[in-house]
Amino acid sequence: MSLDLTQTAIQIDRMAQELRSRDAGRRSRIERAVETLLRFDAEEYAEKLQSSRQTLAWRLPGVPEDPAARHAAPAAPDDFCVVATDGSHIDVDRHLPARCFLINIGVSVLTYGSSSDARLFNEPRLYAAEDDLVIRDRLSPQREQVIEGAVLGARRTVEEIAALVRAARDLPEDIPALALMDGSLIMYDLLGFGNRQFVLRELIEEGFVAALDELRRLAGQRRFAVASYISLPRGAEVVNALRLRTCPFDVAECERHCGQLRPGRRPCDEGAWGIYDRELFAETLAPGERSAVFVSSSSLVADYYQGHDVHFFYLHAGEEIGRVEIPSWVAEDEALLGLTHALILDQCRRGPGYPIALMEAHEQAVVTGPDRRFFVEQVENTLSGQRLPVYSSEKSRSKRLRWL
Amino acid sequence: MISNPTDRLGEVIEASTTEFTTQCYELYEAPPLGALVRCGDGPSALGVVANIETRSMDPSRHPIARGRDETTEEGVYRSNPQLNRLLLTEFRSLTVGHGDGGVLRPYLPPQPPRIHAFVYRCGDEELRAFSGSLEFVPYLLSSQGGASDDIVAAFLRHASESHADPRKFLVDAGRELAVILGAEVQRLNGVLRRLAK
Repeated sequence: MSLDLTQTAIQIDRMAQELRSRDAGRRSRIERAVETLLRFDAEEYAEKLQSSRQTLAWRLPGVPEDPAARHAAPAAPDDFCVVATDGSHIDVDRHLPARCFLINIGVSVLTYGSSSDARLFNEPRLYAAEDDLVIRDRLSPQREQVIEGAVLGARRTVEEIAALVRAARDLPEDIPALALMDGSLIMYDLLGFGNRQFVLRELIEEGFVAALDELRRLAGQRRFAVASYISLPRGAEVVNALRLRTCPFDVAECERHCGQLRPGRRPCDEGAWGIYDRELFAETLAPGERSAVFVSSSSLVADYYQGHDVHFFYLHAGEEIGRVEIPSWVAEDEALLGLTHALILDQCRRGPGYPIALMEAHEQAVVTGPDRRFFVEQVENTLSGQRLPVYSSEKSRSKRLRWL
Repeated sequence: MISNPTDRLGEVIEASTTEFTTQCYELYEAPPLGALVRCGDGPSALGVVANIETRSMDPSRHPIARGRDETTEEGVYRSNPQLNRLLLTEFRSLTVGHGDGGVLRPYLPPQPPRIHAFVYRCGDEELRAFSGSLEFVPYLLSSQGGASDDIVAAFLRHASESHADPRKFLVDAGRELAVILGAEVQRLNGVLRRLAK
């Protein structure tokens, strides 16, 4: 039986009503947040953050400049290059006769100006060797982590940045360039793996951070910036920073003062509860402008990124407020920061609405439904051609045959 | 006949006994309507270009207007370099002959060209040799698609330029057309008017 659309429509109606009632005070909370942002005292914030560090319930960002600052984009250079990567994967399927997964990395290299050109390609790779499918603790080899689900997502991110490094090495050296990734520079997929340090070491330190090191080395040789772009960002770090400002207590001891209160009823919720950073900056930024730069306080970055602190700013890209994340060595170089701002804005205008290089990398990477079916058939046919046992679960078989 | 790789227009991507489709290596680099093209050095097929199409490589992605702020069409492509990789030009040719041991035969080949056969535009010498006889013209005139008269006229105009006396060639071709289309005076006049342009 297919989905009962009548029943579903009634439930969607109820959901909309619930959302509307939940949203009643939202507008006034956003206005309150904007007021707080405009009279934010960065020095006071830093002091209170320091005194409340042990007792805060929130991870708050570093605010090195006036958070209400607005910056117009510098002009983009006449000639420049944007390289972007994106990935998709076919996860391990226990109903398949072989344990394997596939990662497809899409790459787009767009050159603008007098030698305008484009290179679009993808690099699929099948992982099926025993060592490809697990991450082993080198100190204690019996400990291993199977690569699937969130860990596979993280492995894919590592492959995306590795492909970015390879593509960046081939860029023409005489024009400015931007290397762009999709999503966050912080490997949030691995947040739940704090107790499996060998996983974090291999994927973050030896994978992602090693690639960041190489990108920084390339940036030392030419005018080259690195960033990631998040469309419709759900971050609320800046909004949470405002909580500290509206907190009525000298030291924010969240659990002691407000631990018994429901979310939405705490004093700091007044200009923060349920609001995203993008909604805050939609009120303050004009099209093309970027916000101040903030510093992420993610524990993953502090513990594993080896000095590549992740900074971020919000950008009014014309159609939406996007979030741009950059390594500290880009944020601290005024020229590279300006180049990042100008080129991402330019990319969004060409998009339109979303960086065109990322869109084309995604198009190269995407694995469609028919691709997935072809992959499964190809695995089964090849194994059977080699006279290897081909079996499938009865569940998988029944889904395919759909007996009446 | 040995071809120079730089003269190659593209490759056959679809072929049947009566027609073949070529994907161009370069966007918008199709030969003109009515041009004579050949597959390979045999050649395995000779065709007259009957339709040219430029479209998105991915049928699920549609081009959108991008030039509001550009002053020239070239500017649109310069500002969006990916377009050259995402659009493609193809042309369909009606098969009108083939090579057979060094002789050009003005009738259908025993087999269609192979997929990925290299496609070249015929030079003046081939065009002159092939258009010496207009035996294939009735077949072209009866081809489907509604533009057959334009295709024939365009072919004859191209062919005339390969002959020493283009005007004489067109007059002779007009006479042959008058025999073929004798019963369709209006249609004959239409083709002759197109020849004169």
